[in-house]
Amino acid sequence: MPNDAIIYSGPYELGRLRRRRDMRVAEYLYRRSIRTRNADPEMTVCRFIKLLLYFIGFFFVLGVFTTGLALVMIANHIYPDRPGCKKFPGLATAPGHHVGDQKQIMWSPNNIKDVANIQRAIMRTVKRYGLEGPKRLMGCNIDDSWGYMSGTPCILIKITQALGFQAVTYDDALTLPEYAPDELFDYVVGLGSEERFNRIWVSCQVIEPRVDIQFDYHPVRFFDAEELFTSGNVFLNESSDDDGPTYKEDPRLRRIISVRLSNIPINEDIQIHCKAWAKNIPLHMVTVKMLVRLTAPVHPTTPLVLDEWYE
Amino acid sequence: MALRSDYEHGRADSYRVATVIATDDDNRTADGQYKSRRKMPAKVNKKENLDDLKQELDIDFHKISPEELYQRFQTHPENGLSHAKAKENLERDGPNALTPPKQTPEWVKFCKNLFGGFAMLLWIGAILCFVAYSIQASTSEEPADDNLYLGIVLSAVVIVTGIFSYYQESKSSKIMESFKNMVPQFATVIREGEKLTLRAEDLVLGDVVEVKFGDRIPADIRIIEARNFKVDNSSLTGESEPQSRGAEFTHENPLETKNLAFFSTNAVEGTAKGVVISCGDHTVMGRIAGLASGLDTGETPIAKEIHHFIHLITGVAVFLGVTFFVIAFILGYHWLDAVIFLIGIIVANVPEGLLATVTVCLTLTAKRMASKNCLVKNLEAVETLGSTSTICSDKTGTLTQNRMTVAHMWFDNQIIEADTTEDQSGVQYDRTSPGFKALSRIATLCNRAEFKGGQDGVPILKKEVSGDASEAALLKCMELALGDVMNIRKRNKKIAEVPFNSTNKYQVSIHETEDTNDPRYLLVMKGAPERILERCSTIFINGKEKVLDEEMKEAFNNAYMELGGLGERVLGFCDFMLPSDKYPNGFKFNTDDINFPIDNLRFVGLMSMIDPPRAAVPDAVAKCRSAGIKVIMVTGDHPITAKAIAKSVGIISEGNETVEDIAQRLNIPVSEVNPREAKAAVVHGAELRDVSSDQLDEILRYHTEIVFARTSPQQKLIIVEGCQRMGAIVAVTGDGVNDSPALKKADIGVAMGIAGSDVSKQAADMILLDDNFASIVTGVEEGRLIFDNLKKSIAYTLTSNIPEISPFLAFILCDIPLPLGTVTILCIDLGTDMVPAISLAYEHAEADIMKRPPRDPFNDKLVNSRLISMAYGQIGMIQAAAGFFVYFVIMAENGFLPKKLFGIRKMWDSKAVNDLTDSYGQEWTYRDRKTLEYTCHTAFFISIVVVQWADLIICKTRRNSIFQQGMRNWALNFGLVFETVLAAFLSYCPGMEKGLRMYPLKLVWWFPAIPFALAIFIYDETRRFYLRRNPGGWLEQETYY
Repeated sequence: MPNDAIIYSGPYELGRLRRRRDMRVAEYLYRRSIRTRNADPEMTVCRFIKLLLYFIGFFFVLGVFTTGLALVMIANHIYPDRPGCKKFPGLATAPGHHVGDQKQIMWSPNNIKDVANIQRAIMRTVKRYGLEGPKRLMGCNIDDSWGYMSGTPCILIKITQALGFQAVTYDDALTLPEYAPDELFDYVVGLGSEERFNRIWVSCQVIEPRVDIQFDYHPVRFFDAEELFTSGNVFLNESSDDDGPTYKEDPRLRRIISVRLSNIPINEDIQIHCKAWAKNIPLHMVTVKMLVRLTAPVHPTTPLVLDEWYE
Repeated sequence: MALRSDYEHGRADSYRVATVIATDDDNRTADGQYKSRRKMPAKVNKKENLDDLKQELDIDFHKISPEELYQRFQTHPENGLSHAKAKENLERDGPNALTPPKQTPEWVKFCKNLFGGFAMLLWIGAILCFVAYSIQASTSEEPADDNLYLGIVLSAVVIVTGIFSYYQESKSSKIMESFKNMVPQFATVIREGEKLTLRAEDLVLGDVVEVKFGDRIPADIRIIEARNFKVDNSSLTGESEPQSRGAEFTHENPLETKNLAFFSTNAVEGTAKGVVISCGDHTVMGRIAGLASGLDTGETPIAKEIHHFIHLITGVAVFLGVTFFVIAFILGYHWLDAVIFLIGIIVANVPEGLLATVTVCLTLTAKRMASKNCLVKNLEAVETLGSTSTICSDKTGTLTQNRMTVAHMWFDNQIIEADTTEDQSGVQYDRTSPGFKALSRIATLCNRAEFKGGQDGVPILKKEVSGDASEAALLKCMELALGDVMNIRKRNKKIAEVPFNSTNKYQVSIHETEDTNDPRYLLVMKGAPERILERCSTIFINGKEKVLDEEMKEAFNNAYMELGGLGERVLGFCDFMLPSDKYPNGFKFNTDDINFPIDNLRFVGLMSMIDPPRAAVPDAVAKCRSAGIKVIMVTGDHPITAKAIAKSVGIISEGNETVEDIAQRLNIPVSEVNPREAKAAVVHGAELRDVSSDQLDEILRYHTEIVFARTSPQQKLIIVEGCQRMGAIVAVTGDGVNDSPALKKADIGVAMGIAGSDVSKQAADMILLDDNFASIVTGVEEGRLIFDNLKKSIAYTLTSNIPEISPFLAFILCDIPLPLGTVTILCIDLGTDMVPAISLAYEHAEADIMKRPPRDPFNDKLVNSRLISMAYGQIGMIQAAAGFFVYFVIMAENGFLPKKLFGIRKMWDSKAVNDLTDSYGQEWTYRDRKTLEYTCHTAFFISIVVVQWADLIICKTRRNSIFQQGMRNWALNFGLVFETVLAAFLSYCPGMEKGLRMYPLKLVWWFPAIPFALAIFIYDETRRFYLRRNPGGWLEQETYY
């Protein structure tokens, strides 16, 4: 019987026997590969061009197919004047910068740089409304610094455009949710019945109960929900003026208000939450959180100025 | 000369000669040719080990007297150990088994699964996520949680995947381990005077065992009786020649004395009886096993392919990741954002579920083959079997049923075909004719074979018979035809008998007749047809007794030649009614000095028998042929019989002639026939002895259908080597110890599970549990299927990489909001894609799998350029188009038309912008924008799932149409449902928007991707149609993976 007649396959097999056979198998496979291989054709220019044309054709057909589907989709689901899906409005504010999920507004009245940055942020927002914006928000800009120089800062609050959205409003104080602020409840109760209809109420409150900050809303404390989320409105002219039977109105102006803060304590972090209230707007989508901090100026010339004036 | 010189100088000890002359491997084949150009180094280590073993073998069991031996072990040579003593010894010494080699610790295996391969890439990604989150947390008061979530998810993914892979590997190991128990080794032991068959593991010191040739020595034994007993110690000492063993003490060295035989060596001749002196690890083999460095199975071909693939994909992932990291940095992105891109691209490229798929595929293959009676001892043999190009098959028991069966009968001057099928579903014949009745009576009565007792419920063909094969065949045939042979014999009581002998070549018996009115005795005879005919003067034809004239003799000769030409063994039958006046009732018949007539008998007919082919073998051979596998019969049987069987099973196909057939047809001498004109060849072992290796190579090269008959084990080995020289991957079947050299030499050794000896089973890589050649075809098919299914699974898995990567590229290059998030990618790779990818392992073989040529492992890689081209460049692009289409549709429907999106990314991701204007003038806060973005991620994810439906279906086949393959893979069907349900769950389950950023979709947003799924299906079906229409054409060249 020749050498290595017996080989044991199993746990008792010695490694060299397995390796030897593996080498033999590999060698046979290699030699057979050389003999029988149907080698891939060389990448000639002709082959490359054919392959390229194949892929070009493939992608062309894919492109045509996709374009066709896109055209079908555009014809049936994409409208020229409105989106196919409705969205909820949101609440945007200015100024401030985001830290986490809240905006921070920190300034010192004597720090011109801080005040200038805030002014620029506010003006970027107001500028979109042309001449009508500053006019509508004039009550908050008496000192030409939106109140930040005088310690009564203004915060712009805008409800974002959501084309076609129809707000369902709280038309009575009793219909407000239990978690609505008491201050808002008192305000609505104080209004006449005609003044409660079709309004998205706005409320701002301080989280810390011991701080008593006064909020003044300019020009009003609500967003008039009538045709609010449209790209433009045409109303009948009911006045006796000779301006014509109808007039055009840009509802963007009605989607922005401002709130002035008074009695802000100095050198304290004030947590303020502002919310818009409507029955069919999820509250978390129209809630903004702000951190306000008024830093007191410490400058030796201040008493001197007062003293000179007194004298 | 050196050998003689050493011998002449008195070095007569065979072991010493072996250690000087014999080598394990001199890099030469049996005929002296070099096997390979590389020469093996000298076996220094083994010599040192043997010297060490000789020093350690300080035993005296071979020196002491038998009586002392019996006394020492408290045993008896005839009665053996008592059961109580045996039990005591077993408890004291433990089982007779070697301690398994040291295995890799489980914790190391687990760590390899946890940190190896793609897992390391994912770990790096997770660490980077945590680092990014840490940096964000340190620089802002309320950092976004996305990176933290991503890091946690990546870590969880790696851990879960590692655990799953480890579990699958463990299960696979257990399955392979369980296969060992399917072929246990037994030993014949004498205990308390009773001969028992026990598992070898239950042997204990002092047991008296009986060993016969073909068995493996179950333990180290001291031989006390031997009859022509020889052992093969090559696995122990390297001695290649069988060593004679006997009861006499011949040498001080235990390895050289004749009265010891060692555990795990093989008995190759004779029988012996011995006393167990060492068990388990204390045996000589046990010491060697302890010295070995352990198993070194090397890397399987599949494993090599997988590693090649891993390296390829890793390189692509790292290259793309780093490239776009640099590009993002150059474009002005924050370095932290660039890191996030890097993580996303790596995650998208890594096929996280691939390793689990491979493991499942291999395990499933082993289980499936075992269920088809094809036991795999190592999984690499499966893959090698798929590459087999030549099968050298034994005949008896493998191609045939291993039972002689009556195939034809000649009576009434006509040849009748008997039913040889395994289930008796063949042709029927007239069993009422007078000729058959007479013939069957003789076959029944002139027969010494008997059914063994206790087989009432066993089918006739499966009943065990006492008697030789021919008589057993006759017995079973008559039992089937007549019903109750034993009862017939009782009614025709045997009076006298002359048994068969090689001189007379006939067998005679005298019986009483069952006709009580007939007082005559019936003499029946059977034997070699020509001998029977010589003793006959009449012939029984169509119920009439006629004179045996020349015409009848000619008819007999024609029938005899025809049946003999079929390779069948032919027996003649005759009878004679002894006249009652000369042989009255009570006559004393003398069988030693014949006192009754054995001439002038009545010839009745012929019966021929053959070991019939197995029913499944012709189809199996045809499958092999269509698969490009050459089937060669190698048998020790007669050439005529071998040729007949080869023709009946298709090894020699119809219409193909041998040189003898051509010579007979042309009526010319065989020497004048051009051998190359004959496609078939039947080579006798005697001829093979004179054939040189070149001539053998010529036979193997120019004859496509070959039968080697009357071959010796040495010649079988030479044939295997010749096939291997031709570049063939050779599988060899065998069942006896004589087949072991060829099994060892073969690339795949296939042993018979039922009839195979322990030696052949041990030497084989695969065991056919049903001894059926068709099971080899099962193995070949499974070997090819495993590669096929892996390729399909990889193609399926890789396809989704393009829709996963392209969003990041678009995000960076087109400055659009991110279409698909990293966590969402993981939901695809480890969620929706995992089960479908694994389900492809359950795919049935394509109809053409056995029509393909053997795989070329050097060119036909698991992943090739065509697969990449298909997966990435074509199907993947369609999928990416689908994803982006859905993305843009949703953005447009929400107000951001496509042209608005390009260049908007900076403002989109800026928290300072809370009134970003869309195409219709709507204003979006940062929160609203992120909600929309996550909705788009979900939509993109859903679109990939939808197009993966089509991808999964087209990946079921590589060439055939899906309509040809069908949807019978229920695991795949479940996978389709699973991924859809999982996608819906991830989209709509409450809480998913927090953990996974998956936002619910409108139902209508599932539909935009469906046209792309249909496009994939139609495109690939069309492609495959043209593949089948133009085989070997340009399209196949460029797209068939």
